[in-house]
Amino acid sequence: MAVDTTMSVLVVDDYKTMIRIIRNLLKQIGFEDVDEASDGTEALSKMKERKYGLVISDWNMEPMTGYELLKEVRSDATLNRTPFIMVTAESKTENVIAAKKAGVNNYIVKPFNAQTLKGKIEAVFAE
Amino acid sequence: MARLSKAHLSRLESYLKNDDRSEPSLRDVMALAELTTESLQSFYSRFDREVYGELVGISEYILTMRREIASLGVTDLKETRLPSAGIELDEIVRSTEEATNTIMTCAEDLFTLGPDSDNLSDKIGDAATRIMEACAFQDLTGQRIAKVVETLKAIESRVSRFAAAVGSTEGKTELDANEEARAKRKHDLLLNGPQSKSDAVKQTDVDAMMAGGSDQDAIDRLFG
Repeated sequence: MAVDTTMSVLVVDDYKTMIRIIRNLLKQIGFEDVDEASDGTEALSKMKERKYGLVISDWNMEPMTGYELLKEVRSDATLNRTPFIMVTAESKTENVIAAKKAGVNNYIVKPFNAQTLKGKIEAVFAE
Repeated sequence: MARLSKAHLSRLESYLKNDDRSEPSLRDVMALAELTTESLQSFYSRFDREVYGELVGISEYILTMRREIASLGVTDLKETRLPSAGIELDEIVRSTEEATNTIMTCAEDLFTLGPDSDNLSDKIGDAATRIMEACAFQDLTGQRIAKVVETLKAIESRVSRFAAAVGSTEGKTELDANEEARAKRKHDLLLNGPQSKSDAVKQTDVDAMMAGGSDQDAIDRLFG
């Protein structure tokens, strides 16, 4: 399925290198409009100012984690329909279950490749 | 525990009962003091020996503790080894970041190339060379990590020896307020960090979970 690559994507990660990797992978897939935030607080602030078509977030960040961001987004009537993919090194079963319960659309375990990212984005928009 | 002897107590009792003590004289008081002192003498002598013995024991324990604390080499750990390990770790972060940036810049440069780019072969060769040079970080970080591991082993060995010397048994670890707050945050927000390859959930298992359980085997593996 073809995904609308003109949408804006918000990448949330506290490691600049990881943001750069995801930004490059998104560019390869065709996404040009990519914004970034270094934690949940900054991401939430940006999401309230601008509408994003997709959020790709890490889990372990300070002060606000990706898990907290996900719960905040899902409890906000104006943001709760934003597709949300967790990309994280948190690879315990309890993390996956908690993220699913909190309403994540997909979950990618680091390290990952471009094909996995592309596949998960497509799966989210095929829902 | 030392006790007063019966004979001494009987003499003291008889002295107090048999004479008229309505107006005790100095001689009476001295006689009573003498009897009392005599009665308590054996008690105090045993008591002193026990206290002395215990104090000697405590003194020896303190001496052992002092020796063990000295052998911990706290100054060496605090002023040399730990700062040095911190510097090594900072260097590891810096060098891996630098190498990653170099490699990513090369990759980004390669993405911009097309079949019609000038000197295409040279540009690809140059990028490949820079990538290989950047990979040299792996050798240096390996050596730096070995130095940090050596420090951790030294600390482990000294702390274990100290714990054995002072007879420390495994108990509940006392955390200060900051540590407690961080531990609670980790627990509440499921901040488990990266798992070892064998413990980490595989992407295929995650996919099964996210798909709502189409692959029962994968779900079973998750809970296995």
